[in-house]
Amino acid sequence: MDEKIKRVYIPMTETGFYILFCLQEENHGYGITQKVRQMTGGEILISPGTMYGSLSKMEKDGLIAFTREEEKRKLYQITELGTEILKTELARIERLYRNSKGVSVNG
Amino acid sequence: MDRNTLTERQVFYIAEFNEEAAWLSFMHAEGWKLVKTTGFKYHFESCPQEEWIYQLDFRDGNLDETSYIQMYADYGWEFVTRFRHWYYFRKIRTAGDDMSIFSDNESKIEMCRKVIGHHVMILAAYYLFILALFAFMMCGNSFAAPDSFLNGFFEGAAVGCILGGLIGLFFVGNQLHRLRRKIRQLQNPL
Repeated sequence: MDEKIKRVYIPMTETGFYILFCLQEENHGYGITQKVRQMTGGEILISPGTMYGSLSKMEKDGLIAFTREEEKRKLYQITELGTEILKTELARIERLYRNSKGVSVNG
Repeated sequence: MDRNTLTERQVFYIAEFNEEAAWLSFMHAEGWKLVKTTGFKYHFESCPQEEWIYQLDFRDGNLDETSYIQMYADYGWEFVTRFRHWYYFRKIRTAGDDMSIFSDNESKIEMCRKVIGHHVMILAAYYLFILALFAFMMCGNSFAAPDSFLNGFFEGAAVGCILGGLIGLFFVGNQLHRLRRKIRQLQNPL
């Protein structure tokens, strides 16, 4: 994996993580916000400026790709690179979780 | 005099987008909704006195306006107008609704950085222009006689450009400083 990309994206912001996580299925900006709202019980509401900026940046960096346009909305989906980043980040979060529960990583 | 429209002169510099948005909200609550702006002049139309939130977004580079505006519309933000790279949105105030187009500090900082980058480029281009003018003057001296009108014109133009450049540097520099301070406050609110 590209080390530079890794350094920029890991650890991810909460917004970034949920966007990338949701894009394992094709979706558009507002659709992602709705899904994240559901997943977090309304705790995390991603606003349009933040969403637009994140999608543009992730697309530019190759983590997600534009798939098609539907009623003036752009749909995106995660790429291979994006999946790799997501996996690395998930492993980090899982380790964090395990350690917080007092379980040693090696044992 | 048309009582349905109003034009106001008001100056907001590049670091004052929050102040500008607050003023537009105030105008709307007074019964004047924004129609368009040319930077120094704001054109309003009369409307019911309601509480609307205004927000400015700065976007440069490639932008597909149709899908960009559609995304904001999905979230209930009405696109009002655009002035250069600034996009104006508004939304009626409702209890418990998010009132900012940015939901995290990272994206607020990102916008400040973009505004800084864009204006540093403009300043740099302007100074390159002055440099080019000087280079041209050097060459100009070889075909314009020392006391000729042409020579005087070039000298006057060069002095004007340098003065303009210094004044520009002072104003823009001050605004860039304020933007950097804004970034620092967002990074560390304590």
